[in-house]
Amino acid sequence: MRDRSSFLGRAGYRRNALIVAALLFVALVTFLLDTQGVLSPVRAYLTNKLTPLVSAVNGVNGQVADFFAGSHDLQRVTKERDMLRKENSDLKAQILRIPQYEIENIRFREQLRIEKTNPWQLIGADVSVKTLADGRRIALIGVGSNNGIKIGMAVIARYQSSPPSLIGVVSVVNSDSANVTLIDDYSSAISVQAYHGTELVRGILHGNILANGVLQMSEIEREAEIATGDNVVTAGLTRLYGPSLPNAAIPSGIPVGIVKTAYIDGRSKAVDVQPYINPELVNYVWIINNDTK
Amino acid sequence: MDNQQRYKIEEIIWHELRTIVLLIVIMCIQKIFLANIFGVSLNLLLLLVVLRTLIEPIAKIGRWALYGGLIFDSVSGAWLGMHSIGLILAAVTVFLLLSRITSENWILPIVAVIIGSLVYYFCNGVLLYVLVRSFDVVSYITTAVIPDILIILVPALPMFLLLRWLRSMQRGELPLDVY
Repeated sequence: MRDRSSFLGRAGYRRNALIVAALLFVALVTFLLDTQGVLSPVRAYLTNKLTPLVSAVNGVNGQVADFFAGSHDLQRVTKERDMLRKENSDLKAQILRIPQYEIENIRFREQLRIEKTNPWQLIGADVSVKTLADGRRIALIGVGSNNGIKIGMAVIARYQSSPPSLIGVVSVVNSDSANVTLIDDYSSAISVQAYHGTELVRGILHGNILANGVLQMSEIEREAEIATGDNVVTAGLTRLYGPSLPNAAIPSGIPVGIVKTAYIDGRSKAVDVQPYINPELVNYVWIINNDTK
Repeated sequence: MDNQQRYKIEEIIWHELRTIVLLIVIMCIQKIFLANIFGVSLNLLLLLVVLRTLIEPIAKIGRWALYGGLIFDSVSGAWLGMHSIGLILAAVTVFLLLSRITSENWILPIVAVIIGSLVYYFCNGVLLYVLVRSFDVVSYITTAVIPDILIILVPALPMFLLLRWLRSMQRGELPLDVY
């Protein structure tokens, strides 16, 4: 591909050598003359003629440099923007968690207050689902056997100004969840007692789906003194009869409700009890872990 | 047998002017785009002179070296002819050492650029050493020679392939590579 005629062949070689030598000679002479100051006017002339071009070129060069510098700045700004976006996202997530923290704080303070005034060790849990199908009153809570939950443990809650009251009993335990049979479920049967002055009246508290949230306390002696407004609390009798029974973990003295009406039911007396809390309204509960106290 | 084409004087002048304008454009490109790459300027003129020496007649490249050097001196404030001497000697050295190696070899442009750059910077260094009293050889080597040679090696092969392709297109040849 090389133009070999340029250097092959004696005549061509000599001619090229002469041309190159002449060019080199011109360059050397020019250089020597300029170093002696002879060509200063020529250099000044060339410089003056080329100055506008050089200035324009330098201007474009500056713009090109600015462009690349701007590009660099853009990359830096883009990087900073991405970092700020991430930081903003994190801050928003933190802000969204603040109400959650406040709620948890309220619940922990509430739990502490209950534990201070009662001989109970509590485990807090969110109520995930409330099953109302088939007439049942079952709630699913977010703690299970991994948290020390066992069948028969009492579940309490607070709602507005009510005292911490019984709302149900743990009936099924899974590893990380548990079913709570609420006190108004028709299968619920809990030993309770009511205080009438200095007298103590005991009975069994049942749920009743037809009673619109009102519970029924039965198995009360016909002559027992009990009246409207008397406080009803758990009796903890199961523990007395057999510690291995399912409801043996329910301690005595948990508030349940107040007597609404009392009436004679055959050979015994029965009482309608208005629970302190409607279990349907509860979203957070505490499970009484009596084993640890 | 006289195959040499006779040119009219105005054709020769036009051809030389065209070469000078082309060299000014090359100088502008060098000043605008290649003035500062990682703190080092890419000497496009030296690269073109050395690479074209491998595929063009030496007489033509000698003119390129002379005109290009003078333009470079004019815009850089150096003595007129200083860079021309370096460029012509670089072209001549490359021509003498590598003219018998086929230009299809891809290693050729690398070697040519190394040799040409060494000669060019050696000539400039000698002239500066003679004329400038405060010239520091070590600083010249470390801050100018080595970085400039390294940066000029980067585009050597692509530029050579481009020049060779343009040359082939002009002649209607098919480039053939030897690995």
